[in-house]
Amino acid sequence: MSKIPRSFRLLEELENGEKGFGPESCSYGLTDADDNTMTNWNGTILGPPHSNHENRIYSLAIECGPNYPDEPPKVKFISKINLPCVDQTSGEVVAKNFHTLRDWKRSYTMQTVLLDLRKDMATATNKKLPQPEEGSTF
Amino acid sequence: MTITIHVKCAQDNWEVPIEATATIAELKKAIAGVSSVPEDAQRLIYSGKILKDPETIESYKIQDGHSIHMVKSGLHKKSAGSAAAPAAAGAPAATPAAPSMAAGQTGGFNPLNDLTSARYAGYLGMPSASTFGPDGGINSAPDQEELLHMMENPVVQSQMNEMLSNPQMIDFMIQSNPQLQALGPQAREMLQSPMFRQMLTNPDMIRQSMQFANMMNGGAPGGAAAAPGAAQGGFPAPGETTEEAAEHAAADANTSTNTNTNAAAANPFAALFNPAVNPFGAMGQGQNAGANANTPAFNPALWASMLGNAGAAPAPAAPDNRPPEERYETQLRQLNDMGFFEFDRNVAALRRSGGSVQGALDALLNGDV
Repeated sequence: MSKIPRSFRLLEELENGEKGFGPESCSYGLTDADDNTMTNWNGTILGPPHSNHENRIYSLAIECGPNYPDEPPKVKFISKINLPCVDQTSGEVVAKNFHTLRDWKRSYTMQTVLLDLRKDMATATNKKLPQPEEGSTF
Repeated sequence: MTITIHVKCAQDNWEVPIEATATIAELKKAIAGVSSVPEDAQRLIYSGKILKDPETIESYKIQDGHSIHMVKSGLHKKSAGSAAAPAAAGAPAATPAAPSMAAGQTGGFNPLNDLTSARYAGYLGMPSASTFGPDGGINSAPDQEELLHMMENPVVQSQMNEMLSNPQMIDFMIQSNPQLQALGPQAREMLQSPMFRQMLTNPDMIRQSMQFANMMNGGAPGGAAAAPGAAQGGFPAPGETTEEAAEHAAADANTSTNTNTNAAAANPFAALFNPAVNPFGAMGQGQNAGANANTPAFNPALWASMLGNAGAAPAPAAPDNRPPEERYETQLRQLNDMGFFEFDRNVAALRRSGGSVQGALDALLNGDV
């Protein structure tokens, strides 16, 4: 199977994000719509129900480097969140603690990352973690 | 210029026409008009950004036909406390979350998870009604002929092939089999070898080995007769205990793997289709492998438990980790064409029906999802 080049992949993801294909529990798009390198992205995750994250909207910054999707994007929470895989000072998602980034596959997308983070919030151990006040940021 | 924006909220989807120069506050007012969600309870998300009231639609570069998500807050939060609300109108993302949460909780990759989705209803290899006796118990193991028949089915064959060429599936098989774990890296090599694949998928080879099994069994009666023992998971079958049988086969396999003759390929299946080692026994109690766990060497019984898994769940053959919109792309389009626009419900319905549009329609119309 031939590899889809970075720009095509990101354009596809951009379209999916803007048109709202995919589940509504997450959303993503370019931080600056004029950014031709398509490096910096915004993401949001709607906290999963039946957890301390319910009804919260978490904002994230996603950076797709020049080697994306061969290499995972850098993902950083802007909204404060208490999650084992998130560095509590910077908000960064620590790749070695988060399986989707650690075992990155080329077929993964930003949506994969956001949905998996959301799943991570909903795990039995994480869903009851005390969470900082909504609206606070890293 | 007037543009149309799709507003999505849980199960609902509205189309809102609005001037591109309008502010977000004005947009919220327009949404309140169609959705009965008051402006101050609306939180709008577009392209990963929370939209702020004083900004304009233009400034966020929202264009005609684009979608924004709406999350209800405030009012909704109060009613959510009463627990009834999520089930009723709101349920923000409850539907999509259910499957993903389940998957999240097991952490790793487990294709058998999917079994609960009834996605594989009607698949070959699942115990059929005839498997259960009048008293509801299992009264006959799958007949050898049935198994053969199953293996000759090109669908099953291709699924087995696919399964064995998926490294993740191999990992899973190894993890779920203590004996395979003990084998270490060899196990992976073995499972991935074309030879092994051939063994598992070639009906002729299986037929051969079944004859072999019958011989080894000292002409023991066929599947059904010995099954009571098997169905009870390791209770002695008439004449010969399961352990004896398995060890018998194990010893045989050991010698023949060394000699590396044609029989080597056939032998492991002696146990596989030995009625005493019943795939459904493995499914029901997971003890097939356990019963023989004290045999550290290459143990054919583990093929049985493996094939037990595979036979019971042909679907792991195609563990599919693509996001649903990709996996069900064509089906979703069909559902859209039929006027079902609620992505989450459509996906949930397709999950339940195993990708069948017809089944999904039934589920959607019955309100099952």
